[in-house]
Amino acid sequence: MAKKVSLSNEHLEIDEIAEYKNDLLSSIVFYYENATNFDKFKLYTNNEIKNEKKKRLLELELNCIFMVLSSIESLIRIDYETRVRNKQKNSLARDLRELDKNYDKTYKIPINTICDIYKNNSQGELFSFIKSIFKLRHWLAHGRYWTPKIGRKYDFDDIYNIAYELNNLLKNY
Amino acid sequence: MGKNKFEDFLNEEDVVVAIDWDEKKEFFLEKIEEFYNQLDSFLKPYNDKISVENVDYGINEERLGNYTVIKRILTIKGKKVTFTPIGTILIGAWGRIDMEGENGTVKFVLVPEYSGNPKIETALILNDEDRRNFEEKQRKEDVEIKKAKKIWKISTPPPHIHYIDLNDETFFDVLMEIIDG
Repeated sequence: MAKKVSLSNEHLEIDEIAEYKNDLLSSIVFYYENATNFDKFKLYTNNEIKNEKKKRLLELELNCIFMVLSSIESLIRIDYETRVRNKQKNSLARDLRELDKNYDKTYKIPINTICDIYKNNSQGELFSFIKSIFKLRHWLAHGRYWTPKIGRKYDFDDIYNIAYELNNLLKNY
Repeated sequence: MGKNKFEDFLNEEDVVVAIDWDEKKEFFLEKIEEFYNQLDSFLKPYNDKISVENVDYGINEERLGNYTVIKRILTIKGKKVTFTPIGTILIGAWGRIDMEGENGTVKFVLVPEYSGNPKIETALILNDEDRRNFEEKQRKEDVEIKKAKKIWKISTPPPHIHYIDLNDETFFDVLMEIIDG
């Protein structure tokens, strides 16, 4: 059986990430709108300013997607920890405890394996989406050097929405 | 082990309702046209001050393959605003068109008329009662979704995404946000 995890309470709430993204987006837009006030942009053409702004906004989007994806993992692992250690008497908790027996440390359990158990103990598409977006997380975490095969395009709002639904689902059980 | 799993996979009963992908694509194309008609009616009083350009734009979606839609570019006092159809295979929506300006992007989503926010219906099934309740709820919702007219709405950014009705007033609110900050 895996050792109990000492929870840090330092995980980010998804709404906090969304607010963070909105604040940075406003800051970037403001910065490039006022580019003429900054020495950095001397000798830049208007197109160069526009292109750089576009690049910064794209990076912001990808970084914030990664933050929400990490937050999804923490939501699942915290829920796992609670269900396994509290010895709940239902099929989900029993299946999770069964898995837990095979590991000495929880972090060694692949997140996809945990997700499969939630998927088998649920109805609806949420955990299929989560498994699919973990491929995106893998791609982002490992330097995006290959062309990802994710099936559909996800943007920040989609990932946020998945995290939002997961948060509500786990809170209610 | 892998072989057994593969055989199980092949023999598994396919419970997914068959989707007519061509019909889905045609529906999206019709709705794009409907969106542009709506847009034309909002902008009609200002036609002499706005230039409109339509360009072909390729979309590639899993199951639908490659298809072409119209991307519309408006030029308003030297500022460009682009309307790009994104696709129809989406979470909780039947289509999406993004309006992009210098200061950001606004999403228009094709959703059931009654819908107020995106939803991914899922429930943990911890006992038989959970399963019965979920299946019953799903049945009712499927009927409701099928009956409902799908219309374009504005999707607000997170946190707490919600849908706003698209009309003259709300359209110009979001247009000014992305043009003028």
